[in-house]
Amino acid sequence: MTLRVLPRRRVYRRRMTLTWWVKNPRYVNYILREASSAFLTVFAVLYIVQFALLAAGAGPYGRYLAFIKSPAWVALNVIILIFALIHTVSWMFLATAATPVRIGAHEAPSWALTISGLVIWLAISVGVGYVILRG
Amino acid sequence: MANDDIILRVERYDPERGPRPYAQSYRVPVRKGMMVLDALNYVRDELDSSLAFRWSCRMGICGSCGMMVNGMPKLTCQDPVDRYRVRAIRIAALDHFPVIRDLVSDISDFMEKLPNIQPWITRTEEKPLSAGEYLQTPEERALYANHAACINCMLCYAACPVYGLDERFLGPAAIALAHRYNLDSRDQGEALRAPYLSLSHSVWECTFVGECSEVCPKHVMPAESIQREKLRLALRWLLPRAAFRRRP
Amino acid sequence: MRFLERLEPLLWALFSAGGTIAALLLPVHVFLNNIAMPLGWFRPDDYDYTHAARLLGHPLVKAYLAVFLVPTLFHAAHRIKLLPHELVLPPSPGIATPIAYLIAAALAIAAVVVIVLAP
Ligand code: SF4
Ligand code: FES
Repeated sequence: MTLRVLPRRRVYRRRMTLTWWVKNPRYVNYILREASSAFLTVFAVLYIVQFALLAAGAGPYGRYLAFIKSPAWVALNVIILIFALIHTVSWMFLATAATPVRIGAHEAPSWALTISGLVIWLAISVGVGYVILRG
Repeated sequence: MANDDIILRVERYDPERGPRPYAQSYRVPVRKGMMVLDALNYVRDELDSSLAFRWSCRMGICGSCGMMVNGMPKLTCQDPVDRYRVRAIRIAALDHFPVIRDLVSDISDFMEKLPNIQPWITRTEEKPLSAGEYLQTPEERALYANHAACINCMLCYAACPVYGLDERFLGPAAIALAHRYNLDSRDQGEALRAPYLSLSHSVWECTFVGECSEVCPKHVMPAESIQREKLRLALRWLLPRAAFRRRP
Repeated sequence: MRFLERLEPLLWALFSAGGTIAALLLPVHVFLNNIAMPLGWFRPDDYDYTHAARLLGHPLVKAYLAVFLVPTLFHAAHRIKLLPHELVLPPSPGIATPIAYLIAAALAIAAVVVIVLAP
């Protein structure tokens, strides 16, 4: 089916610019949230390296423990943590908007789901933290 | 009087004049309760009859008056001029659509895609006439009611960077409409819509930017309906066929 | 690409699962393991080789870490594949997509291997 009213060369096409996402705070928010994925990957790589050194034995793992005391390491991980938090908070909004939860005939309001999600996150964090420190 | 004037800075385009758009400004006296569309009508009636734009109902129903106002997609008949605290308001045709002339967009891309999602009630088995009409409870209607309010104004397409980057994307309003029919208790067409909806450029290209739901004047929630269609399609793919018996 | 198109529902399911898992688990891991530990905010012997080896030696911990890292990697790939397209504009997603998933798959295999091997 073709409904084109005019040949293409007779129309004007406005193109998106490189800075399209800077102009709207919600787009900035979007790009930050998408960029968080790069930092999740970096974190996974750091964990893989840590486990590899752990597998290599006490000597290499000791050198790893000494290396991570450097300020650059801590700075990198503070950035990772910031993006991890961006991911967690934005995900709680996205996931709860995308998943219909019905209570009786009505749909549960998504803000209630978002808050429940954040509460569950805090509870799980405390549990995981306990295992890492005391397990 | 002159103090209450606003300036409309309109991005104009005339294929006879050249391939590039050009800006033209008009001074419009503000009246109480004036909408951006009223200001444009003032321009056409009093200042420049060559200015082209679309409108019809002036009450947010026909969906033909969508434009970019200060960079945001708006239904201009519902957009009060005094919301803009600046003296000059920038007006342009909707983003992401080819411009035919001045503020008139060519939305035929959407019109061509639309029939593919079969936006009508589909029955695989018809009841005999004697069995009466297909009834629906208020609860069943409430399931899809807000997704059914779309007026095809295309603000959501203008707000969607995914569509702006790749015109092949099926886009917010079309998927919201597919979702609306999939949720309708009288409809049995979900399996028929699934093959087209599961193409890469249909639901999967969406990245849930969410701006379509923000700008939609009818609270259709296209962004949410796209994610829910993804969920339905993913379950359809992952679970055994038997889980998807047709609705009676 | 045809092949990836047929896998879209699966990749999206992995993306969603990984997004949820990462949202729930990642911050506490970054904070404790990569910030609090190097800065020595807790008992020093919480972080020595013996403690780490004892934790990683437990099969439940190994399973937990695999379920944590593998979907997280595929979640990230699903978003990363579009970033160059969104930030640098066309050329369209094209090659970035298979590259992103290949890297995620390679890292996922590496993760499972080191998790299994670690004492
Ligand atoms: S979904 Fe909303 S914004 Fe999009 S065309 Fe329909 S009414 Fe307009
Ligand atoms: S003129 Fe009909 S919606 Fe604005």
